[in-house]
Amino acid sequence: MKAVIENIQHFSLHDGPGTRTTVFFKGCPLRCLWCSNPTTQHFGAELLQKADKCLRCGACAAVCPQQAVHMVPGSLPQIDRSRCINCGLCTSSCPGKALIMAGQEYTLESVVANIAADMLFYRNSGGGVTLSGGEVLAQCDFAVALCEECRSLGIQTAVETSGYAPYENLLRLSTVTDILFMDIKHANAEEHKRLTGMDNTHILDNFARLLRDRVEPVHVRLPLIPGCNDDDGHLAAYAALLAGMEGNFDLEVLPYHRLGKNKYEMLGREYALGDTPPLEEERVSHAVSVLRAGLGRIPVLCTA
Amino acid sequence: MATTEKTRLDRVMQLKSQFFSHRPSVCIEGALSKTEVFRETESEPMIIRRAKAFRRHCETKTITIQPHELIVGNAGAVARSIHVNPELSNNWFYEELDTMSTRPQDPYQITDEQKRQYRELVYPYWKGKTLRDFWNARAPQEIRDLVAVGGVCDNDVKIECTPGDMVPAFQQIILPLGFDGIRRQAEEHLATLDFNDIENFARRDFWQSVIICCEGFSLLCERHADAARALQVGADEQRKADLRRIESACRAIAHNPPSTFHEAMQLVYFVFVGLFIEGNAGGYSPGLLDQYLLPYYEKERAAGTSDEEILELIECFYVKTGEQIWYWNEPAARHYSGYCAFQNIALGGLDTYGRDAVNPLTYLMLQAGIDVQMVQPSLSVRISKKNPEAFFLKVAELVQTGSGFPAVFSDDVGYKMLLKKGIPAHLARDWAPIGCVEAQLAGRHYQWSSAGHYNLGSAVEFTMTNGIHLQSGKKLGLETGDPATFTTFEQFKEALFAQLRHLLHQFSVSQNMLEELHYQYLPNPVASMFTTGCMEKGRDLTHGGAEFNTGPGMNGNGVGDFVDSLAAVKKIIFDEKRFSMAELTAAIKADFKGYEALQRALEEDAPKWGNNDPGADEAMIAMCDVIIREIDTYRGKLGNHKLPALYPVSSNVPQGMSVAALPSGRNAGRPLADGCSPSQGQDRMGPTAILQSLGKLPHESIDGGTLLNIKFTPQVIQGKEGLARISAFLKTFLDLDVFHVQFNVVSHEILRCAQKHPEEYKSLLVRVAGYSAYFVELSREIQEDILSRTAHEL
Repeated sequence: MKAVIENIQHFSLHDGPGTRTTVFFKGCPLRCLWCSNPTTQHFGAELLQKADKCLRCGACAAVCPQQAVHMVPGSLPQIDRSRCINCGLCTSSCPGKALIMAGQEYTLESVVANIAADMLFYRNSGGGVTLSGGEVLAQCDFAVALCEECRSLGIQTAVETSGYAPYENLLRLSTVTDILFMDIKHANAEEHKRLTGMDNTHILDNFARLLRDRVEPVHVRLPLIPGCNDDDGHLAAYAALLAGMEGNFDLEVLPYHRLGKNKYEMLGREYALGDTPPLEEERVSHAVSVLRAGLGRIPVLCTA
Repeated sequence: MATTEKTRLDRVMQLKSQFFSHRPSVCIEGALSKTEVFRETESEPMIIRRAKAFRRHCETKTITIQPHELIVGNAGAVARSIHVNPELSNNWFYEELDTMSTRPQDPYQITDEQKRQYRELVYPYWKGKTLRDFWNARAPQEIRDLVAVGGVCDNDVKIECTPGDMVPAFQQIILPLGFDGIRRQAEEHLATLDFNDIENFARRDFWQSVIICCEGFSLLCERHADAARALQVGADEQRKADLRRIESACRAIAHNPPSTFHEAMQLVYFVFVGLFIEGNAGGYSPGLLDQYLLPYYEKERAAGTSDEEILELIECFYVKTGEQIWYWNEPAARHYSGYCAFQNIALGGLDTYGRDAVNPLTYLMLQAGIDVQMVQPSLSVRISKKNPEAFFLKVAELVQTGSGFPAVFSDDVGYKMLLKKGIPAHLARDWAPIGCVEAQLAGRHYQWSSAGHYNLGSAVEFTMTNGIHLQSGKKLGLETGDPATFTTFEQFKEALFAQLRHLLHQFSVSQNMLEELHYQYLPNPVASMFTTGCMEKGRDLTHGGAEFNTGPGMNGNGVGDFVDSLAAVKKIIFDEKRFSMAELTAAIKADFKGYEALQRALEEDAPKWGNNDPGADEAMIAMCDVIIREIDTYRGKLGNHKLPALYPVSSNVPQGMSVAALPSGRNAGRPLADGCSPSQGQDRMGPTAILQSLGKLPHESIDGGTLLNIKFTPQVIQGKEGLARISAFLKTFLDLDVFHVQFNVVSHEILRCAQKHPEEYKSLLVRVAGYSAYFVELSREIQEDILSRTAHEL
């Protein structure tokens, strides 16, 4: 069994307790404007260009079967993304390592071997593995198999999902993972569609069903994005929406950061949020207090 | 007035600001009095002359007691003054008289009067009589050339210094006996002497020297008691009470063993004052302080003394340790920068019988490290799975300060190192790290942990140049053939290991010369009377007096560079045949100019040490195997086994300046990897992979010491989660049998360096929920975001 994985990061500090290894799945059905991992959106491997490493030698242009690379004197090679088929030939010929592929196919065995190397760290810290992305559920069979394999090795797992997937897949994964994080990014269906490309009806429906079926808590996450979902009106509506749900869940606020901006440059894409600065601390704590006011006994956490 | 947390911390603040108000300066009182003594004693044995010089300085030196102090004393006249030993440093000290106050690294203030006195009264007597002069006259020419070129082998640490590498025998000798007790033992031995045994003349000289040194110590204590008494006149009530305590402690220990915690702490401190008077050295280490002071602590607590009072004394002691300077000439000050004397305190771990040794004093001594946060003392912890979780968390709290302390050691690996050195199992648990990371049996052991460094990077360079040191153009290595003609990896590897063995051999010859010179010219009665075995045998340390003799450590720089070079040549040149040996050879000479593609391939496509990558880890094991087997055949003056050691820290920078470009992809002149840490920026897989790689080293066979530095960004260690994370990390460190680790918290400054030298900081990971990226790959603007955050967090 195989999956396209963008990165396996060891010694992760977030997205679950203890010392963790995070497996970033590649491919996502949503297109959130603020996405900090745009290299995980596209299904399949994808070409990245690191400007500072380019030796301007022209090897990429020479080898490209699609004639997608144009050399411009005194400047970086221009990549015509509409012609590029992400075949990766240029990356193996690039002497400067300026061109690399984001994502590669992994077998289940190789991912498990990679993860299991840190067994002692999980044991000593109460940590484990986090499946992140991208959308984990877009490669559901692999994700389920990976969680099962981890469970048989005694490795705890956590999953991060947008919840945008057929419910039976969500449920299958929920039953084999210890910790489940699920994003609800906006309370309003139309706004959700504008911000992420899909409306939230299906996600909310999945969430409600999951609350009925899952015994362990669901950890809801709200990425707090300036100008998108951080106004008091939305926050009050958001709190009201969650307060109306029945089941075992809590809420975590993830404040916006723009650390993913350079990844857009490497992909030759524009960053939709442009120069939007990170949120002030006071703004974040204000948002948390608005949410708390509306959510009553439901815990609201914030990871700055 | 009772000591409270507030009065204690106020005192520490005052002591610290007083400390930083002293600019390091020169004291030549000792140099002047030693010159007098030596002029008066030309016909006497060297050990007696050195003992008399020690006593004279104790008798005549300026005594200073500073405001706010509870623990008192200095080897020089005042705090942070260098006590000049002309028999070691006469030549350079004379040459640098006019420049030492303005030199860029570690300057020393000196007055015109001091310069005049040194020129007229000290220099002429010692001219031609220093260890440096003896080295110049007697070391083999080939070895002198090798050292003189700079950066391939250095050995100043045993030409300019006495052997400081020791923990005095507090438990066995000093605390139970006191100075009169030691003196009585020497007197008893003297009373039984029969000179029909010819060895007894030397023994007589040794025991007499011990008596003279004990007299010196008694004088030193009494003179401080007198000074504390004199200062009481006119002092305010609070200070008067302090001074009475100082007076009484100094008076009590002038002849007899200590009975209070204050007396014991002051005695420990005076022992180090005495050692620094005897010799200029780094590494004089307190060792297992929380264990041997415990009886005094328990007695005091039972008598009603508070923890605050005890903690205050410990903190006063910590500030004092930083006042003593291990002084250096200008070039060497770059190797040993920061006025630091590497006085290592080892807390926690297991006791002699293998039981948990953590006690209430351990926690107070860690808390003192958190409160004081100065470069000295070097705080270390020995950790064991038998230690309680509270101890691990307290250690984590000290890591959190970002001070770089404590150095963390696996108690079990240290114990095994001592077994390898031939120490019996029933004693070996009392090991302590001294200096940086060198395991010794506290109080019973004579071991030069360092006699300089050799450069593993040079061995690689010589393989690529057929023995030529490119920077100087001199032939310093073996002729192992033109590397461009190598057709198999085995050929390359054999040439490289031949260069390595040759370098080890030459470095060992240099050490032998030094041991021979110390044997003849530099007996150390003070250090000897504080080491078990010397009294019974009537013999100085340099003559084999100690109960156990091992060393010197043979300390290699550039571990990561050597290993990465070996792994890169295998993969890129021979396995994948992407470039030829001829190209590599040319690229090295050209410092990769015009060979950028080759350099990138070496840097990015080859396995690197510290990533749990079998390709590099195997190269490491192969290198260690050669070093361990080769050094296993080397013996020193006393039949002592020499020790493989891979722990250099700051000398990786100056030694790097001497090394050409390497097949690892490193450019000429850049710093080498420090200790056993991965090469700069090459730890792409993060801290878990670093530990796993380090776990593959045969640490107990590298019994001169191994060293690992890990950089953590602040978010890794902050908060309660951070404490738990560090504690868990240390348990895995134990599980993997790694010997040492120290944590550097990535500061604002380090991130600024990363902006300037991104290639050396490639592995700095920015960790945020659901996201990861390398710092150096972010745009300037985003880097500035992180910089502003980091400044805030620190």
